[in-house]
Formats: sequence, C-alpha cells, structure tokens
Amino acid sequence: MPFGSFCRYPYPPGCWGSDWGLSGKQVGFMETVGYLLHGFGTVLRPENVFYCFLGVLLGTLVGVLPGIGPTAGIAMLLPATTVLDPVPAIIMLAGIYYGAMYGGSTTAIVVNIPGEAASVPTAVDGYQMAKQGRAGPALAMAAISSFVAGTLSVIGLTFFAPSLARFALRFGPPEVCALMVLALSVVINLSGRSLVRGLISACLGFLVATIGLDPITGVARFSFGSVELMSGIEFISVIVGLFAIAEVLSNVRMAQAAEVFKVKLAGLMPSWAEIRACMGTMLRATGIGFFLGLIPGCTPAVCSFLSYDIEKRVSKEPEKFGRGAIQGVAGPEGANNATSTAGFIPLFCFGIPSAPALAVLLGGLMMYGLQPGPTLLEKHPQFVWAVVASMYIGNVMLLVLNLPLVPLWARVVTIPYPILAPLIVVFCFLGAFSVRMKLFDVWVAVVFGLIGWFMRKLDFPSMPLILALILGGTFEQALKQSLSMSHTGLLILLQRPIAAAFLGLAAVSVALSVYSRWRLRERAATFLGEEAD
Amino acid sequence: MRAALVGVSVALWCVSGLVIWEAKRLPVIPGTGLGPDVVPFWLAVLLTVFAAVLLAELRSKKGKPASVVDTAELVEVGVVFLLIVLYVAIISLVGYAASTFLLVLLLMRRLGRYALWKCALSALLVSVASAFAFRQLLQVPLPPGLLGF
Repeated sequence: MPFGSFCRYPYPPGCWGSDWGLSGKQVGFMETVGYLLHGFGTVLRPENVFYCFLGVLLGTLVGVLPGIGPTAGIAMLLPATTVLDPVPAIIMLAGIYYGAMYGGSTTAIVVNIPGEAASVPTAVDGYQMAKQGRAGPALAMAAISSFVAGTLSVIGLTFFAPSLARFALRFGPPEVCALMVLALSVVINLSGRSLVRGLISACLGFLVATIGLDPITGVARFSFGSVELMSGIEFISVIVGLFAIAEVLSNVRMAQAAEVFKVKLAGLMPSWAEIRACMGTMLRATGIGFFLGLIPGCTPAVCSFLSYDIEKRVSKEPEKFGRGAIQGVAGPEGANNATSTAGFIPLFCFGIPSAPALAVLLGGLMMYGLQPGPTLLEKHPQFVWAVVASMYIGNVMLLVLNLPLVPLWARVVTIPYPILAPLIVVFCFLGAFSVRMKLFDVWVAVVFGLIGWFMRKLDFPSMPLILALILGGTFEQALKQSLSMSHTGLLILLQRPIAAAFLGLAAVSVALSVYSRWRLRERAATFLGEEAD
Repeated sequence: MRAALVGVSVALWCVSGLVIWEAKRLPVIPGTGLGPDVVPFWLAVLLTVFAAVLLAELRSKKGKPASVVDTAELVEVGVVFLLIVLYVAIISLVGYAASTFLLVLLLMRRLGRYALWKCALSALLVSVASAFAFRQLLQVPLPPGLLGF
C-alpha cells in the first residue's frame, strides 16, 4: 500500500512539521499532549481500534504457542497486512509485538516452556508457583506487571523520547561491550549453590554461541563441514531443550506415580499484599527495561535477566527466588514489556531495531514507503503519534483480554502429567522447528534436553548457559569492534565514560554477589553449629 | 555420584581440548583485528580451569550433588528419551501427523496406562488439531513424509 493514504489522517496546520526536538527545535509539554491527543483521535476510529485489538489478540496467541515468537509472528502476518492502510497495519503489527511479549509468559509459567529468551527468568519462579497451585496469581501478576511497565514506558516514550534517544546515540561498540560485561556479571548471582558449576555452565553457553560464522571475519567455526552448524545454533532450540524436554524427562517417574500437579489451585488472583509488595518491583523493572531498551542490541532478554537479578539482590528473602517468589515473575515480565516499548524509540528516531522482531517491523515500515529516522518524525508525525497512542490502548486491551483468561490458563496445570507430557513434546517439536523450518533445530533441542536433564541431576544451573548463549555473540562482536577502533587495546573500555560506568557497575555487581554468597555460607555454618550444640 | 562428576570433569577437559585444537586450526586473516580463534581459545582455557576446580571441590567434599540417579530412573528416562528420538527420526519419513499420533499414543500409554482407545483418541485429536493449526493457519511447512500428511 503506497504511503499516500496517510492524508486520510490529516493533522491540523499547527501540528505539521513536528520534529520531536531532534533537529534543534524543542517540543513543549502541551505541544506533545496535543500531538498525542491527535494520535488518539486517529486510533479511536473503529477500524483502528479493531486492528489494535486483533493485533494484541494474535500477539497473545503467537506468544502462547511455543516457538512462534514475535519475530516469526510478525513475519508471517506481514504479507497479510498489505491490504491495509499503513496506520492500521503498523498498529496491528505493533500490537502483535507487545502482545507476543506478554503471551510468552503464559507457557513459561504454566508448562515451563519459555516461548522466547525474555521469558526464561519468568519461567524460573512462575513455574514453581504453578507447581504450588499458584499459577493464577503468577499469570495475573505477569499481566498486571506487563500493563504497568508497558503503560509507564509509553508515557516515557511520549515525553522523554527526544532526549533519551539523543543519549542512546552516544553508544558505540565499547559501550555495548561494557554493557554485555555488566549483563554477564549476573551469572554469579544465577549460579545457585555452586559458583564453579554456574561458571562452567556459562562457559558452555558462550562456546555454543561461538559455533557458526565469526561475526567479523566470516570464518566458519566448529561447523565440522556441516552447513547447519555454519549458521549457528538457534537459541530457541537450546531453551526448548534445556527447559521443556528436560522437564519432561525429569518428571517421568513422578508422572507414572501421578503425583505431579495434583495440587489445589490456591486462588486465581494475587492478593493486595502481593500486589503492594510488587509495586517497587514493577517500577524498578520499568526503569531497567525502558532505559536499557533504548540501547540498540540490548534485547528484552538482557533486561529481564538483569531485572530478575536486581530483584533477587534487593529482596529481604533472596532464598525464595527460584522457589516461587512472585517478584521473580513481576520483575522480568515488567522489564520485558518496558524494553519492547522503549525499542520503538531507536526504531522510529534512527531506524535502528533493538530486537529481531523490531527488525521485521522495520521491514514492514519500509514496505509502506516509510523511512524510519528523524525524517519520519518530521514528515509523518500523524503516523508516529497514532502508533504511540495505540500502545496506550493496546496495553489496556492486553490487560482486559488476559485477566479473564487467567482461570483458563491456570487450569492447564491440573491436567494429569501423562496427558500433558506428550503435548509438551509435540509443542517442543513445533517450537524448535518453526523458527527456521529445519529438523536440525529439533535435533539440537533433543540433545539439549538430555544435557538439561543431566545438568539438573548433577545440580548444574541452566540459566547461566542461556544467558551466555544469548549475550555471547553480541559481546564478541562488540569486543572485536572496540579493539579495532582502539589504539590502546582494552583500555578503550575505561577511557569512555559510559563504558567505564558500566564496567564499574559490573565490578560492584560481582563484588556484591561474591560477598552475599560468602555471607550466606557463613550464616549456614553458624546455623549448623547452633544445631549441633 | 562422585564418579559422575569426575566423568563430567573429564568430559569438559575433552571438550576444551577439542575446542583448543579446532581454534588453533582456524585461519587468521591479517588486518581483521582479533582473530576468530581468540575467544573460543580462552573460553576453553577457562573451562579447563573450572573443570579442575570442580574436581578439587569433590576432593574437599564440597560439591555433593542434590539428587541422585538410580538405575530404575535411568531406564524410565531412557525409554521416554528413546521415544522422543524415534519421533524426530521418523518424522521426515512418515510425516508430522502420523508420527505425532504415534508419539502421543505411546507416551500416554507408557506414562499414564490409560485405555488404548482413550490414548488413540487423544493422539488423533492432538495430531490433527496441531497439523491443521500450524500447516493451514500459520503456514508452517511441517514435514509431510511419504504418507503426505
């Protein structure tokens, strides 16, 4: 659809030529509100409300189906939107994106299959809550946290986009590299009882990330002549294997004894006390997700892992994390949604997609003849503000759509495991296969399923492996680019203030983690000593 | 279980050795900065060190694992894993729907000991519904196999 159809949504004369302050002119508060109200005027047309609803509905379904993540969902539905005008088409595609980011948490909580990397931390405590009969509160908290973080991020997007986008422009390879170091420092906190096992797990994840073409030279590494290995290991396959297949294998004996999930559903909504306890979590998650979401290359997965780590640190009961802490659900889900929303800022302002799904959305914008970047904001404010306004409405729709579905999803965990296990295996196949349509990816999932089962039995944590696998490629590329542009080697990371600040934070994070592990051990030794007395 | 962890350490050393061997064989292209071998090489070195620490932990009895695998469990898990492997192995031969039918039928019988007709009906429902949803609605080209479905 050519782009001329925009004139169906004209702005009043005073509003044309907005530039979000990117070309020197500052946009005032009232002016922004004016643009936003016009955006609402466009979105609240019945056909646009319908496409917004359709987008979040399809997005939720896409997220719930394992493997069909937002990227594949948008890519599959992009051709179908060509019959629409650009505004409803992009509103629908954006709805699919943030709808899928929410929907991914459902399978993570109910059956321990994170539909995408960003839902991995949610699965840790969400699934434990489900096993305790608290799937309802976990799902509802995921919806509430997604709504709060999503809405606050859209407000941030509306009012702070120009200055925040300008700050994010200062990010080069050294800053991204330092940011990855900060994210990887989380490994120590995710290592469970044995630090060395966590580090081994992270090393293995990093090594898996190096399989395939070298990001700079294009040399094939560890492919052993296989074309499939040359294109690297798909992390969705690894996640499906380590979480879902390993879960099925771990529950084989209990399934036969029919013990699994024979739990009474203890309430379907979180209590007010729990919501109050999670308010700080949601605000922190929004901050982390929103600010880091502005940085190209900082995917929702990074933010949800960081949020989980921070919640564990600030919690008065860190030992509850991994055993069904509701903050462990609210944090990653909020950060995940905030990042998804913030990702629209570099996309619209500079044409830089910060996540694979946004790259597909970028393709969609270009398909309609819209060139993302400052010119998009200058020439087509009506389009940008309509999409921004649709996010407010989309977030409300997501909450209204998903809260009534909580009882339905929560019942899934009461299905006897002998019936649920074959379904999980089938969905694992579909999830691993659908990403690249290759049986090779399914074999990878099966192999990692067995590895995951062994890791559980031998008490090796799988979270560090996943984190290192996700971040490994970005870290290596940023490191190599930083060294290429540096005359002082790795010192460049300390010479640039933002990079140095990230490294400083990483050092503090490592020191705090090591200290808290030592304190925990001391406390345990004292307790055992008192018990012996 | 101590033997299992010793085995893990040895396996990790083997993996590290293989990575170092392969990394050293990678071509280094002049003028491209950090070569393709550097990161994997140092990761393998770290892995070797951590595997050694794991062994040292075992010696000082710090690394006692939380759960133990017994032979009966190994057999049960082995059977289910074999079923999953067979499912993936035959899928391109007999097609998605037929192999999914077989997997659901066999797994339900194995894990739940339900009546055969119940397992067959569930298997039929799952295979047809998932094939329809993914093939027709989501346009995912699931393997048709020799049977064509």
